[in-house]
Amino acid sequence: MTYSRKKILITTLLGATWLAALAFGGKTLFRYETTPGSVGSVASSWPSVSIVPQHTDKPTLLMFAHPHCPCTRASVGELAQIMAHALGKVNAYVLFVKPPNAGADWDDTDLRSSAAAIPGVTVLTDENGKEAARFGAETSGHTLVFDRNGTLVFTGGITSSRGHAGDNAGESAVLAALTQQAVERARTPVFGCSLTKRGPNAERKLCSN
Amino acid sequence: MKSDPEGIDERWLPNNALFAKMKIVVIDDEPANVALLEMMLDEGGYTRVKTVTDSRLAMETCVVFEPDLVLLDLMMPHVDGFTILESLRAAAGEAFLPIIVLTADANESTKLRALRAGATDFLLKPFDQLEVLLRMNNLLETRRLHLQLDMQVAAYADAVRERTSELRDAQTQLQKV
Amino acid sequence: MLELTGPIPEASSARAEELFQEHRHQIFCATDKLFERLMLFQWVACIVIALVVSPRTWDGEASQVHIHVWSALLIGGAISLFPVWMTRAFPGAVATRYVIGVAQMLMSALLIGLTGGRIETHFHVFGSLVVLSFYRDWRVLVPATIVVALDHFLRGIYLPYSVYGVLSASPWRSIEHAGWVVFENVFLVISCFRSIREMRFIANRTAALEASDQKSRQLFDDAPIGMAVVAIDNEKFKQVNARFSEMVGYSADELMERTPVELTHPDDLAATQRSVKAMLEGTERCSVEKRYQRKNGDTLWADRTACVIRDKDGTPRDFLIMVEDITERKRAEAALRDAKKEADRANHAKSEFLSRMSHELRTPLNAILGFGQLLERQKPTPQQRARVEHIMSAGRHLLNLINEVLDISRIEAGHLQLSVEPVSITEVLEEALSLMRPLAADRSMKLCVDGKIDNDLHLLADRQRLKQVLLNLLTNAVKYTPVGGRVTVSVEHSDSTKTRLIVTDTGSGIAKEKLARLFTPFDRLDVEPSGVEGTGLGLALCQRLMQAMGGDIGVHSVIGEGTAFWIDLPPVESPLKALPKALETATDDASRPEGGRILYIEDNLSNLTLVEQMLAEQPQVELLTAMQGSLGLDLARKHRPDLILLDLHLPDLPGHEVLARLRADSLTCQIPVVVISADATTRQIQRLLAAGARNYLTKPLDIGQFFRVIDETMHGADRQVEAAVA
Repeated sequence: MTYSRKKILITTLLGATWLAALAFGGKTLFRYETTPGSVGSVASSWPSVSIVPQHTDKPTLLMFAHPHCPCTRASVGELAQIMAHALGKVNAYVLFVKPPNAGADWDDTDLRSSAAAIPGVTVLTDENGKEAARFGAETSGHTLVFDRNGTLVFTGGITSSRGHAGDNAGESAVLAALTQQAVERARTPVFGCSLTKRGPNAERKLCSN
Repeated sequence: MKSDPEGIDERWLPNNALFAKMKIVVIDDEPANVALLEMMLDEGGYTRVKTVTDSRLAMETCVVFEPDLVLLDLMMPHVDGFTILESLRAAAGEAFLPIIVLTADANESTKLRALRAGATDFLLKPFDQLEVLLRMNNLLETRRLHLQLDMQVAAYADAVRERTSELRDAQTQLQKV
Repeated sequence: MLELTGPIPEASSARAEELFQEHRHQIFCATDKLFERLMLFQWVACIVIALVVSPRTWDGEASQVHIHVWSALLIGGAISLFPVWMTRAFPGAVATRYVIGVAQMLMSALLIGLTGGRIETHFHVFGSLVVLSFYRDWRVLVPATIVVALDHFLRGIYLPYSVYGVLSASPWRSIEHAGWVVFENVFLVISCFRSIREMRFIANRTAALEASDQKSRQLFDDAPIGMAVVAIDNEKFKQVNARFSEMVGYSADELMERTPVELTHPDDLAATQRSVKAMLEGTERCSVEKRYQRKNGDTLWADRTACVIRDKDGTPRDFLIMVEDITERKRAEAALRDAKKEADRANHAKSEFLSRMSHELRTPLNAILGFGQLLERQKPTPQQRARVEHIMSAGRHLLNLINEVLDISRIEAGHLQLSVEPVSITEVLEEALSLMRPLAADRSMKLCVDGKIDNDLHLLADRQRLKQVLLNLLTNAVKYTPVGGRVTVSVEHSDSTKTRLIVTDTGSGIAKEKLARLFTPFDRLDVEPSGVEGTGLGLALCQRLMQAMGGDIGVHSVIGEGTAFWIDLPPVESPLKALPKALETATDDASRPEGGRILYIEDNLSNLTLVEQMLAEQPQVELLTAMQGSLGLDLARKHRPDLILLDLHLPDLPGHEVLARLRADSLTCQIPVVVISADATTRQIQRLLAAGARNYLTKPLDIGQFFRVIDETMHGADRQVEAAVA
């Protein structure tokens, strides 16, 4: 079979463009997915004022979530994994942040109900993001683990990239902190939507994290 | 017709006084042939001979002349021998009229056709005169016998009729008595 | 179905390869099409998934369209559109499938990305590999696998935790990931090779079938006779070969639109349709000689043979027609017929001419011989007598000539009727000799028979004609032998199939070079100076007569010693010899004649004796015999027998004539006549019965039949008389 030169030329150009486009697109997506969200000044110990009761019998796990963030679905999924391994060894809370102007059904989402369905997990509503601000969480999916003494042993995301399910460093660290007495405070990047509205400055600051 | 070196006179006497008065008709279109037959018949002792060279007149002549024997040629202009043969047979009816066909046509089929049409005898030209005369004699003899028989039958019939009427008369007379 | 296992059949490789490539290309194109649709579908699916799973991205309570949606739309589009272009621009090309392979795996990557790395979405990778194997080209799996591997590799480098979930991936995990893909690939490659093998198998089979098909097709196309296949349902031509087209003058394409009926000469339609009907009713094969009308209007005579072609169920589907051009033969036949007609006409004209000639010659000859006879009787002087002798002798000579010419022409025209039957040699010879004796005596010659001839010796011959031949030979011998010479007749048995009669003279002999001319008509071998008269037809006639009787004639001569003419005829057992035995078997026969007078007109003494002896034991039957027709007629008239047995061949009159005269005479017309003949054909018998014969018998006489026929005929006559009396 013989084809016209023109056709082959066009195809070659198209092919090259294709590859270039794919490379660019792939890179952009990759970049987006692997860019972590911002992290505020995380409390290194249990804050004095909190709606979340402090426990001294078991470590406490806190996850801050945006009820509409699709990426947090993976984080909730990973939480379910963790809870499966560490049921009874931890007091777990998922706090859904509710902005001040949000309607009554703001956090009535499938994400909230799937979190509530995890055994051993208590779902709370964080009115106006006060608790998030108290604990220093700014990105949906941010998870904190405090030991019995109220000392922070883990802070960060439990997914490897945006909305990416599967084993990851955060999950391993959480499980280690819950099951063994972790010596070191672990820290991982958080992938997800912002919990509260940020200005462009805040974005830049967070990126450097 | 084989060469016969033996004395001609000796074998030449076929005629019988009985037939001298028999009437012969010759029908032939060829004058030489007619002349030959006339001479032959003359020598043969026949005195009542009539010849016809125009076949159209043949029937008329025969009806008037009432021949005892006919010598007939077949191939003739105007009316051919077969037609004459059939007419003669039709005219003769029950009576025995000998007709000798004399023709130069040697085809078997002609011979059979002629015999079927009523010829009594058939002779091929050229013919042997003695043979013709002998055959004529034979046929005339037969005719004579036929005529005689007819006469006798007629005579017997008369006698029977006479006798019958006598008997009838006798019967009526007896009845009267 | 084809058996797809076992060795690949050997085949004409070029064609098989061609078929194989064709098949592959078909598969490539079909699979291209499949992927074209799949690509577009996947694109749409990506968008839908993105919209469902992550429609928006959130920033507090503000939200915007999620980047996944844009990715699905743009990257998904990018991935799928180029392959779609390729399938359109290069269907079935290698590059197309490679691009598709790459694109499909990229699509997997995109999907996995969009679904957040769901482990289930990884099935798309394995499914895609399987679908790629639809190409049956293992090489397509290579770029696809490379893309998967690269994806993992790159992610492993830059984002190990996104691939393996841990920061530092352990090597076995990457091996396992690759392992599963390789695991699948191994089986897909095996499957590809199998498919290829099957395809080769099919290609070779097909090529082989094609080759054989080609061969029979060629036989059909190149056959030297016209061949055509005609569909039974619409009666149109389905297939014709070159010869057929050439014969009818229409091209193959023109014929496809026509039916054989349209090509058939109108006069032959009925016959053609009859044969078609016969075949539809079960006759397997039908041949017809018919005419076709060529395109240019000419007529083609053809010998058309057709048969029915049935399908597997035995239902008639087509006619196979084979046509041979017999126009030339028909033309030759017609020419032959015309020639024969012409020959017959000429022959008839010749006979007619001879018959007329004979008539025209006989008429004046009659006058010549007639007046000669008159002159002979007028007591001529010796001088006149000698002159008349000359006239008579010349006239007779002329008559003989005419008769012989007629005889020869009759034999040549096949009109001569022969009655071949057992004839006693002694009888015929005695008759001939007695006729010759006077002539021999004239020339002081001895005429004798050499040795004694067995009385029982019979030959198969026509009695009259045999006598004619013997007379001719004897006459010649006597005429051409000087005075005082000697003529001898002898008999020789050369073998069981022929008996030879030899007439030897002591003449001057004939030179060898002249012998061959002896039997040529009118060639008198320059004997004119000798003064011996002859027609020059005698021997020619003898030869023809002998041949007509199934015998032969020849001559042997030595100059100065004499000449010997011989004739050969087949010997046969004497009918008298067989009589006693036959009578014995017939004695039981109840139907013997009751009594009466029988007249037997027959010239053959053997037959007369036979009948005499047969009736000897029947004293109540009186037998009259006549050896000549005229004598028979006289006896019939004189004695009025109850039955006349009539032989058809008599010396003086033919049997038909005797019969005709018997019927014509009022004295004899009532007498039943049984005709006896040796050579009666059915036609003859019918003619005789029509002419008035009551019955007929064939020679040699069967005694039982003889008595039966006599009885039937006589009793039939009685019954008729009774009926007449009543």
